[in-house]
Amino acid sequence: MSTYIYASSAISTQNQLAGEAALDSLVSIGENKDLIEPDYSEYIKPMVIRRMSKATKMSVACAFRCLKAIDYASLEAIIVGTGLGATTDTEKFLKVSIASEVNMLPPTAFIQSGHNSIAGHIALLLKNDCYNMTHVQQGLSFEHAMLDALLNLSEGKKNVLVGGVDEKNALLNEIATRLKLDTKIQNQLAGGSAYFILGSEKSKAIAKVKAVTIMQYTSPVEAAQLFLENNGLSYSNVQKGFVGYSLSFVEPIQLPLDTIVYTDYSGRFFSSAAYGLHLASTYLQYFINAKFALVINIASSSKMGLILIERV
Amino acid sequence: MNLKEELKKQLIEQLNLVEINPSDIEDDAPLFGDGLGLDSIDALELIVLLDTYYNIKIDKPEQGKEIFHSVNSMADFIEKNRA
Amino acid sequence: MNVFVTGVGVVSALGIGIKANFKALKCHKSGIRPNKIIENLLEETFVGELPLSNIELKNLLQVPVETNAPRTALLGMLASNEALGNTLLDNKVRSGFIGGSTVGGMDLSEDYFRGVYLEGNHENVTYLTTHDLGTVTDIIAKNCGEPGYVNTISTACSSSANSIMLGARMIKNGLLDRVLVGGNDALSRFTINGFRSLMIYDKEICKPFDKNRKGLNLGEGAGYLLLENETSLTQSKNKILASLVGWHNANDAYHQTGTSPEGDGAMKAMKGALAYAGLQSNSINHINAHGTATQNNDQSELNAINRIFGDTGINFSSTKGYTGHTLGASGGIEAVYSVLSLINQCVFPNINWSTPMDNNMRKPVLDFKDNVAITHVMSNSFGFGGNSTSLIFSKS
Repeated sequence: MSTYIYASSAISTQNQLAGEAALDSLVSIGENKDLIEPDYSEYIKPMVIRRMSKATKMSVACAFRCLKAIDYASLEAIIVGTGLGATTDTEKFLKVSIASEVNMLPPTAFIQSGHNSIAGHIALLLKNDCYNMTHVQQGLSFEHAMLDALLNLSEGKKNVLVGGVDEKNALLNEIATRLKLDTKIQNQLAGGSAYFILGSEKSKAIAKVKAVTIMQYTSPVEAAQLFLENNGLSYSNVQKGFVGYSLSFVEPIQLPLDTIVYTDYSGRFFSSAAYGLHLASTYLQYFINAKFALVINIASSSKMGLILIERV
Repeated sequence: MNLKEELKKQLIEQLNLVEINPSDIEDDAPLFGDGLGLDSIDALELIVLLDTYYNIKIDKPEQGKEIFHSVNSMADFIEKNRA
Repeated sequence: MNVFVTGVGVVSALGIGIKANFKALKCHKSGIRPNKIIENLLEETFVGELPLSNIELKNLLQVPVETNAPRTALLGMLASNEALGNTLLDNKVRSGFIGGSTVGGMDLSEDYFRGVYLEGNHENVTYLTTHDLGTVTDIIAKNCGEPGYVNTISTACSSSANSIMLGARMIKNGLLDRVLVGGNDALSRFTINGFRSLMIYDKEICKPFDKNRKGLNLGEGAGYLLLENETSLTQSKNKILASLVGWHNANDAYHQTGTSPEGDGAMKAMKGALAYAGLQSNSINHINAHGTATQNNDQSELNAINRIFGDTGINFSSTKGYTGHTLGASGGIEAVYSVLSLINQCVFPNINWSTPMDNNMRKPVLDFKDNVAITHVMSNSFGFGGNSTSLIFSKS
């Protein structure tokens, strides 16, 4: 049983990817790490938006864009990966509960701070009663969500909405400074989201998901090579590698592969591999000579996430 | 500014009603259900509003039904109970 | 592929370990008391607290006192150690660890923020390095061994029920042979204040399923199960305590925090678990209900139970009158209690109950009973965001 990507959508520091120009249009993260966000009221009513964390708004917008690929009512699972959840609302509730002198505390920020409020809100808007899960495992949160999505499909579900999201805010930057994180990491801290509809029907596909894995590594080059070999391939079969780094310091890796470092554009956040996959699947759609693309997420100094996709 | 106008501004801020102006809220219009469309979480936020701005403490969320019916009923309650 | 339960471990307000918890459950002795260890609450609060400080927990675990370890991790380590026993989580079989949590390292993080907001003092900023849930799970998993797969589920009050379900699915689908599953949450001011802001916190000991219930009390703890397939069992030679035969997750999709009055999500979770297990509702001998003692949950859950079980009697009880609502740990702790029911052929009662809810004649089990024939136990966990999970355990 094969798994296909039917649609993908992202909100990031980058403009929406435009076909063949996609990779050329990427702008180095540099000074400006603001998200390029849509007008959320296109997707969500104002009375509903007001209750949403930034993570939820990004996720709902991406989800609704992807869901155009299928009949909403047929969605059979919603799975989200997030490393830190809704940090802005967590900070807000912390501040008001510690620093304010009122006895009664406003509940909205507390409700929005829950990690699964993102997936829960998507289900609420769609009136979707199906499998709803949130994975929170640092830099591998998105890969865990993907593995769960693949498991759901192998158990017989027809389609799954899966995505990754993390917020960026001033507090995280301040904490990174105080914790003396490597300046390269501090300068690339960002947020973003990317969502996908996965399913088993080739006719709807924009790319095929060949394999997803999480590996421990001592040598990332050898580990990725082993992964490719387990899938009957070698580096020479892969036209492009999409490499990303997470929030722990790791020396940059050199792969025997034409690579683009997606976190140099999207910035670093725990679930950034979702953006890496979005970039990779867009690349495969438009570069007709490309057969395979590999997303390599160096999640920590000992673990990496790998997603191999194939042109259909 | 009179209490009701003040209240409308506070309502908009506390409930994050981004697209609504004080002039959009009529004094006697129902705030919940079909009116402004507020819900149970908003009712809790209004309890916080009473505490924050008027020093009035509500113990039981059920009391909120009558108090928060409209801006008029809220203003009446505040006049009677403010500390 | 069968999914066998071969180890159980638990920590709660009732104490550390299966023995202490079983004894209190049998003797109807609640662990909910005014807070003692957790400080700086706005007022004295009834909580299900383990009456040991973090330093005392570290000493028990032989963890150096100066180690950055949030309370959630310490509770998790105690329970997971007990569940694992002498079994190894390494690469001789495909092994994994799946935790469930909502609080994570918040007990340390909020201490840091307290220093910042009240004193402008940032000296405890390193507390934040253990804030995120994944890091807390890593701490516990590393203490257990070197499992190949490590993950955390966070779905509010159904977190550890979902970790258990994910572990079971991975075994069933041939991805893992042995997995330690469950979850943990410590008390924190953040969550106590959060539930107070929702005005669903009882100022006295909670009364699950009682007409006059006034809300929940929060609790803390950890509950873990060791799940194995036949391949793993051949290697570990562990005794089978029970089987995990059914599971289902559904979404209520009604409100961010409230559940639908008719208990749609709960009903779908229970129905789905029964269907997966290939069981009829009358096969269930006992339900460990979610039963938080909020007006909303207990009404919805009882309505859902009525929809599944119709006019037939069904033994059900909530153990939250003993432990409080342990949030992300509740699914794990209550799964452990469900397995204890099967091992000991007993049912644990729903304490603090005296009056049936209006329009509903069902009453929970009120007294501890042993020498009861228990073959299948259902355990329910329902969380914010409409997340609804039901697990079914069977006698081995």
